[in-house]
Amino acid sequence: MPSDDVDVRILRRLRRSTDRFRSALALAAEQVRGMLGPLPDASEVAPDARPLGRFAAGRIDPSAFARLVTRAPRDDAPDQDLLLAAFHTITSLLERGDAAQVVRVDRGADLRDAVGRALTDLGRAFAAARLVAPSTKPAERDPSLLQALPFARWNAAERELAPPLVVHVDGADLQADGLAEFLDGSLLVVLLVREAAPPAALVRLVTPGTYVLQSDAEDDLDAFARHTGPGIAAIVPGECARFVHDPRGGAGLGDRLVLRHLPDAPPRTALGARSARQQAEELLQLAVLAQEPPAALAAAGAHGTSADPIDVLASWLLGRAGLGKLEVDA
Amino acid sequence: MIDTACSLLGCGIDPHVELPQEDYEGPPPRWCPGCGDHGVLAATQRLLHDERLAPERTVFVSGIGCSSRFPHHIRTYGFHGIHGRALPIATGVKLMRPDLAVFAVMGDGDCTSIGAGHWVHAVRYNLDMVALMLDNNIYGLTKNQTSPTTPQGHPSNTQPRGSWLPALNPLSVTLGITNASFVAQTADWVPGHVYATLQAAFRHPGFAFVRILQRCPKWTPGVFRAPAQQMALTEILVHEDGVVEPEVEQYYKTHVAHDPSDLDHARHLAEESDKVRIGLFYKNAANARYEETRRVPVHTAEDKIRLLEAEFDRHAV
Amino acid sequence: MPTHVSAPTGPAEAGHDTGRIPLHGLVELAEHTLEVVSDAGEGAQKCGQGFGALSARMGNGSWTVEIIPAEIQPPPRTPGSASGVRIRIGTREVTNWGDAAGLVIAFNEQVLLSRHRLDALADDAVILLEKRWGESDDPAVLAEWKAALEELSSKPYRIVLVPLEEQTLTVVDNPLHGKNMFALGVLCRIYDRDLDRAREQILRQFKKKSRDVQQANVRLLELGASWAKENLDFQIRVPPGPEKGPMVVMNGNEAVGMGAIASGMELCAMYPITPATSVSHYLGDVFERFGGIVHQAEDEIAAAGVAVGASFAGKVAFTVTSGPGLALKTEFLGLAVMTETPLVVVDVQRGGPSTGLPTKVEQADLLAVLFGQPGDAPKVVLAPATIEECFHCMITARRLAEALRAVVVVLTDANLATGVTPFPRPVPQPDWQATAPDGAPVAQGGKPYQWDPETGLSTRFVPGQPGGMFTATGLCHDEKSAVTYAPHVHQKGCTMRSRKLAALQSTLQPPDVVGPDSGDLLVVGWGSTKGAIEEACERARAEGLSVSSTHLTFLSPLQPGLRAIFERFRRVMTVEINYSDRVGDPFITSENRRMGQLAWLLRAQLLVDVDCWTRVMGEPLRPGQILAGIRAKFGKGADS
Ligand SMILES: Cc1ncc(C[n+]2csc(CCOP(=O)(O)OP(=O)(O)O)c2C)c(N)n1
Ligand code: SF4
Ligand SMILES: [Mg+2]
Repeated sequence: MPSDDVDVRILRRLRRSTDRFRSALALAAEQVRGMLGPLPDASEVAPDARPLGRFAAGRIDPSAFARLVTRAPRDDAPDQDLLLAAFHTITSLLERGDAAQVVRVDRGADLRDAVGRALTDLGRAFAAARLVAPSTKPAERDPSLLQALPFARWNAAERELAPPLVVHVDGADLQADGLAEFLDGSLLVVLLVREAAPPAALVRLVTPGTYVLQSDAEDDLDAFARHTGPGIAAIVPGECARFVHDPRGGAGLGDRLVLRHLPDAPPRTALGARSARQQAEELLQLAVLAQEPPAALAAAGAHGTSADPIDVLASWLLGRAGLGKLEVDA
Repeated sequence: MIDTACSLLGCGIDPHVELPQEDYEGPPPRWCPGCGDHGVLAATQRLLHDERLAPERTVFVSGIGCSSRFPHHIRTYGFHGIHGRALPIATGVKLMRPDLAVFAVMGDGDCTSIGAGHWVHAVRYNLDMVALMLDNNIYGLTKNQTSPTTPQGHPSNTQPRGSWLPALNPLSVTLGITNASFVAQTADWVPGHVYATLQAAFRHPGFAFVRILQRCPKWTPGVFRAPAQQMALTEILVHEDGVVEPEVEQYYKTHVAHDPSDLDHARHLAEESDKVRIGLFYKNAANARYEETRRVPVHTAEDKIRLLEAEFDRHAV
Repeated sequence: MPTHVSAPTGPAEAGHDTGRIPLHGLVELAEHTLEVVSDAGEGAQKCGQGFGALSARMGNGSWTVEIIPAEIQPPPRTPGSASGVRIRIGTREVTNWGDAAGLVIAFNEQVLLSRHRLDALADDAVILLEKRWGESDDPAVLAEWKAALEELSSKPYRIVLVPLEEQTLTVVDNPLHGKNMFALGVLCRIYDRDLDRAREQILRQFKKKSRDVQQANVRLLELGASWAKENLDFQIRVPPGPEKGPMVVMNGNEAVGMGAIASGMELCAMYPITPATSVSHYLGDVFERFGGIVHQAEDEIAAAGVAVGASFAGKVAFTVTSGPGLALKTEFLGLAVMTETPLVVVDVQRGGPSTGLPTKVEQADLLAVLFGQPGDAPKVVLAPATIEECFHCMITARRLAEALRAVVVVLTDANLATGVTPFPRPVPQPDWQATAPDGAPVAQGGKPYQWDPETGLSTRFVPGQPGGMFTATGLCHDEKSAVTYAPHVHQKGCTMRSRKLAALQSTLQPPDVVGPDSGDLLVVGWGSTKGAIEEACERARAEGLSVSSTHLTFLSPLQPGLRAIFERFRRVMTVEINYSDRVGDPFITSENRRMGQLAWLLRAQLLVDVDCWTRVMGEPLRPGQILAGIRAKFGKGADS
């Protein structure tokens, strides 16, 4: 799957995390290559002679040298087939480059499943490493893991190495809360949202250590990319709310969450599986978290929970329009 | 301090280990009885245990001197190098393997005389490691020669009528070096403080320089006698961001409030005084670390070959 | 003196001194040497390198070497400011810088004078000299001009005046940036170079410059060519050789840098020193793309220390230096030997001792490398003989360092470092590259120096390997790396470290002999002198002398079978660029004579009466010079 310019652009901003992941893979590949020793190849040079290079040709007897320096492999070393399988799994993932980190969610498809599949696929690199890791006991070397390693089975260190993902998804399919289970380690997910979207879908993902960003500007991804824990960002159409929750902001939620923009009007129509009411709830939740408790909300709360959140939101947005002061600097 | 998994192959291994402290102990040291190095070694072994450092992912590098025997008595990887050159070796280890916890142990001669150039530059590189300078004000191993930190007038075998020069002040020097990141002083006769200082140094992300005033009963029994015997002569720098050790602060009543982010005040406190000041003089975690700024993505052999072909293209006839 | 030939001839003819160039008509030569010299900053180097590259592209063998002024900003119009390039081109591969130049373009008479004084020009050389200085209004300049021409008249040079600046000014305002391209155009016409390729090359060379600059340079090239066509009535053709397959062209330091990359090494720790520095210039530019870093340390000691620390913790690292830096690294090399920490050291030799001749070639670090450490510090020493080998030997060096846990020193020199020549494009292999240590646990009871009693080899433990914890130490230690001064332990350690070299030697093959297998004289060389030596011997054989040569690439351990080879010749003589006394000089006898460094070594090791012929002129050996030395050994003619 060739990547679009936009994917390339965004992954470039997230280079640090990508580099970390690919470096770990490349290092593992080189370690496995070391365990494998020279492989048969098309060249006419004998395997023993190859590591010595051409300068040695006619000067060092390669087989004599190999006899001198070759050590017996460890008893519990993985066999050659396993090593080769692991090697190819890792290098083929590396060769896929950006494409392995770009997810396109078909219209109407499940966002969570699509992201989960991509991670399961990337997880094969970890599975390959586990397969041949010196700490793995021979009995535990299960090649079937090479087929898939779902995120749920990644360990803490592996989650720290998670590569960033770029996900193309329709606004109508933006069931972001389904992604909560992946927000761990250092996984960064960037959602590129097509067409109309719920105004504050990501608010359900705000937890103290998670960077959550809704924005219409790719430039905001630079700060996002510097975050060292889990994070999710959505580049949304202009009508949506814009906010950033940066765990580095401080101990209080108010220090971390900055609300930059609210829509002018509450959502009136359902979008995909999300009713207008659910969308309004999310927007209100954002307002509450941002410690801008709308008077109308407080009033509604005082009269019990029956008030339609859309009405609450509408009257609050209306009232707010007069005050019209949102914090704009991040 | 270890923030990077070294390799996928090690991912399954918990980087933190639960080992009894004895497991960090190598063959017993043969320093003189009463030598301050014993206490520092014990504090260090305790630190490794408490911080749950994997012995195989920890490297102690040293130079040559009594103090530089240190790595032999700790069961981690070690490199007992050559006189004055612990820091370049440690730099190489950390640059190549940022995933390892690195400690450099030096004597005062090691660090401030023959290795002085490396000291200046290691501070400037600011790699994430702990540098311990065990300062007994003398050359111990080679039997009593003047060191740069020997007090003026103190006789030795090379300067029997007393050292000619005023002693070098390692704290002032370190605090004067661009990019200084962590500068602390502690004293072997306050073991709790040694431990707390080592811990703060270890947890600091950057080059943590710790001067440890170390008693050498063999050659310089007098230099730290007074402060070691009279608590009032040891002053504790206190601050919530500093070396915090409540018990020590309770016993040692002379306190100086000092915010370790205040470099000017740190320099002022580092000046010679009639008291021995221990604590954290300066801390700045914001300075870029060399192993981070120099970090480059790893490539597979095939990748490198592709890139190499492009280099050959540039040089093609 | 051989004269020009009408067609390139076989091996016996190649490599002669430059032929006499007639000033009328076309002459074909099998090989030819020319120079471009200017004041520093006038771009003669760019012109000359461009000409060399162009010739290589057209299928000629070529060797270019820079003429470097002694200072950064020497006063202009002085002999000391001579800056430029010597280019030797041939139908066959060109392996050295040749003897005297048969043609020179000089941007002023003073820089020309410096080449004259250095005997760089053939007696009958054609000199294309900028004419404006002879027409100067400045009486001082005129006086200098007259004096210079007077001095030059001691040789039958043929001087042709060229309006370099005058013509250049018709295209650009500042002749400083342009005369060189005009000169290149002149050379293209004289040597019948393909102008289209030259244009292409200029555009590539000025890729980063504006279109105007590119166009101006192309126009100057064309102008030079057309001026020469109209005003010069001679042309020289050095026909290309047979098709050679893909080639690359670079200098020896770039080759070392690329070789290091190809070997998979990832850390170069260095401190700037001429002529080694340009390895780090090259790597500084590209290494990070390959996952490598160049660490410029605070001094050479630290550079060695960083490399040792890095190697201890992972893949083999390397350090690059020249004589004075090598001296500073001494103690660390001993430490690396003692701790059996693999390490590659590249020493780009220059003239010594002390600061010596910073930019000039010498082969005088051999014994320092072998014996410079206190105590016994056996290490592997390799000497690439060509620029191509500068590349390939790095792969071997890395591999040997790793496999033997040894220090491997690569001895190149300023001649290789700055010489530029085409060679077959390497086909890099994954297996050339270091693999990463895998962190596998060390089996119970494993020891960090579990020496194989026969070979002295042992498996290295790298931090990260559970159960392998040990403290490497430069103190005498046993198999567990425990420090002990017990008498047998030191004996054992020294034996094991030394044994590794003997074990390696058991896998080495004897060197080739070039020329007949036996005879009167065997010339033995090492390092960058190979091309000049073989050329000289070939010419000597053409004169009927019974001379062969062999070239040593392994200096420690020495390749096997040397004594047997030497015994087939009546006399054996090394040819080296380092100092040796000459018998017959005051006080010098065959007993007290201090020998060339390889000669010392061979005599000590093989008990063969090896003679030596050495020069320390701060320049590569010239084949003709060696030939004179060989003739003298046969009692034919005077030595130079
Ligand atoms: C290059 C070199 N010079 C000198 C020595 C001798 N030497 C060994 S230790 C030492 C001084 C030790 O003093 P210090 O560094 O203060 O350590 P201490 O023994 O006091 O702990 C000297 C001069 C050496 N080993 N190497
Ligand atoms: S000489 Fe001094 S420093 Fe050395 S071991 Fe003895 S007491 Fe300690
Ligand atoms: Mg000391």
